[in-house]
Amino acid sequence: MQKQTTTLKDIINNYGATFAFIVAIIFFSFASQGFFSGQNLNNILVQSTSLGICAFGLTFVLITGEIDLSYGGVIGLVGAILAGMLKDGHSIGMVTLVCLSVGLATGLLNAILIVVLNLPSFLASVAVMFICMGAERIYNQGITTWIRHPEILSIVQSSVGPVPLPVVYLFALFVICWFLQTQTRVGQYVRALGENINAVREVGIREKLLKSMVFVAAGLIFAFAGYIEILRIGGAVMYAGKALLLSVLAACFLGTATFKAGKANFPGTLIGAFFLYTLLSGFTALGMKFYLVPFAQGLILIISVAISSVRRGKIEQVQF
Amino acid sequence: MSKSNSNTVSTAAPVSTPVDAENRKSGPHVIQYGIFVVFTIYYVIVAMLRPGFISLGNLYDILIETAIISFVSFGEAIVIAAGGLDLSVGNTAGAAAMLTCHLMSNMGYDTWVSIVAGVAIGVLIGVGNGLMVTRLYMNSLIATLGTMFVLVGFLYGITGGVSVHIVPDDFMYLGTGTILSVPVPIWVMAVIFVLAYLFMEKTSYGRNITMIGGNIEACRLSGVNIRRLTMLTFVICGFLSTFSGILLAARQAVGNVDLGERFLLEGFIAAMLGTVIFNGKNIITGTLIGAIFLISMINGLTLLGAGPQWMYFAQGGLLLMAIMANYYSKRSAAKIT
Repeated sequence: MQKQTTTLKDIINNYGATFAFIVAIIFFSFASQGFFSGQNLNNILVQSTSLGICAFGLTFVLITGEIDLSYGGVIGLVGAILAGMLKDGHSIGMVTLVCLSVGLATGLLNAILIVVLNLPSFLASVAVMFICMGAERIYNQGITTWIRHPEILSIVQSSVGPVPLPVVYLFALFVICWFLQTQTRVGQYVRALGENINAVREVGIREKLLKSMVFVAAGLIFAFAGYIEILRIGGAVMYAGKALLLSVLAACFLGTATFKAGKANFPGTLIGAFFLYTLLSGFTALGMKFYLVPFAQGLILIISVAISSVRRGKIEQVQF
Repeated sequence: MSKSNSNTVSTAAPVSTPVDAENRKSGPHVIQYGIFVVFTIYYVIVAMLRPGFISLGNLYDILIETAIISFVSFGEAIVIAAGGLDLSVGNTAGAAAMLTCHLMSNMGYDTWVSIVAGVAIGVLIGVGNGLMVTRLYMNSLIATLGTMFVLVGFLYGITGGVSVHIVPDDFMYLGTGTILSVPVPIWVMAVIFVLAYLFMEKTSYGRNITMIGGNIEACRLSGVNIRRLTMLTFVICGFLSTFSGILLAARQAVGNVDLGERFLLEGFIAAMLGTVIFNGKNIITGTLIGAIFLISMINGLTLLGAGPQWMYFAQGGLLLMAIMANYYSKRSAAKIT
């Protein structure tokens, strides 16, 4: 970090996935007529909302240098409780409160395991995911519960003018997260947790409290993602979180290759989420075989992350 | 994702000093052996409630199931020992099984040719993962996540998602046959276990791999070829994962696309238990015991009539138990140094 001379190589390193995203959009727009229509772009945005929201929660945790996979269970558990309680005739306000407290509780559980008991976050959060999946299965007994209240579904399925509501939620949350992380002091401390923990200790920040707050915030965001996901689908499908598990990780890691090479960041995560669904939509519009979609998503993830990590020059280890 | 201290710290500590001997009697080991105690109590309870649990037939069932997940677990344990992580094991197993079944049943190739092709694809995947981690310096978590996506595409691409019913009897023999009245998968497990044990404990390769996971900087300074050994761990993992997939396909007489799905988490839990049971030493034996614990736990719960929801709780609880034991043994290692 001595001189700020930006070379072409630096630009490719830092914005590799962004370019790939733009190229993909241009390519699909020319290759198929239906792709660049307002309706289709709207669909891409709406489909990527719950994934994007969930990925914001994960991004917060990734910024601190930890990881939290509990959303794989939290989303399903929140969804099951949401649909089940509505079926039992509880009011939407009450249900929303319960859903958010589930997120709060799992966030706290993560914080206790990872920050207080000092367990490795990858494994502890997988265990929490299992516990949530078990709880979900006990609560709904393996049955898909549909939501039959049009006025409640309209929280997510209607739109303000031309913009669908979930997209509004997505961008609102994006702005909040981005603002918190980059424009406030707490956000800078959170980044510092991941970059230089010793500096944080020297300055005298209460790192454990800060890290716990991040996990709790992530839990709340996961619960919100589950809430949106289930209302968008219109019913609580079994293990809804498991389906999102890998895509959310992929969106976050694509994000690390989008703006700040090798570091999780919110604009990157947003683009990563859109990118995954753009590929899905574009391939479908071109009439490609369905299995080419994960194939392409995987290749793009590998290539874009490789571009930003190749200059590292050192083998990265995952420690437990 | 990054904890500064690792599970193999204890191997780097000086061997058999008085302090070490003192430590051996201290609290954290109570927690470690606690795993054995908990399981013994569990076995006794299950055996009393369901006498069928300790029948010869059920014990063979447990061992065959253990054999099937043991290969993935050994591979994952070796990768973890070198400080990596392989998320693609389940899909590697699935890809190998699908390819083998497809070549054999749909294309009419010879059974052994198909199996060799299946194993070869696993080695190839391992090489790919290894290259990404050692040459492109990607975090193994991200690299193998990418591989996982690519393999999902590959898995569905082989047959378009259609399951393959297996025709040849000689292939089915691998899953259901017996040699000296012991099922074939158990023999395969025994052979692989001995080889993996000798590799990790009796060769310099194995010792250096464990050392990389313990302290990569020390390895770099002492001239260990980190790149080659890390590569080797991923290749071994890919190679071993195929065994799990192919044997499971042979046992259930059908190759389907989600066959390998369960291997990732089960293999991971077994490998994690494996690194804990002997305090970061002798991980292969530990992993075998971990796999037996995991499978017998699931088997016992099934006999007791517990639904799938309790399986999730049990697996989550087992994982937590493993990492807590790991943490407390690490803390004791930190105290003496």
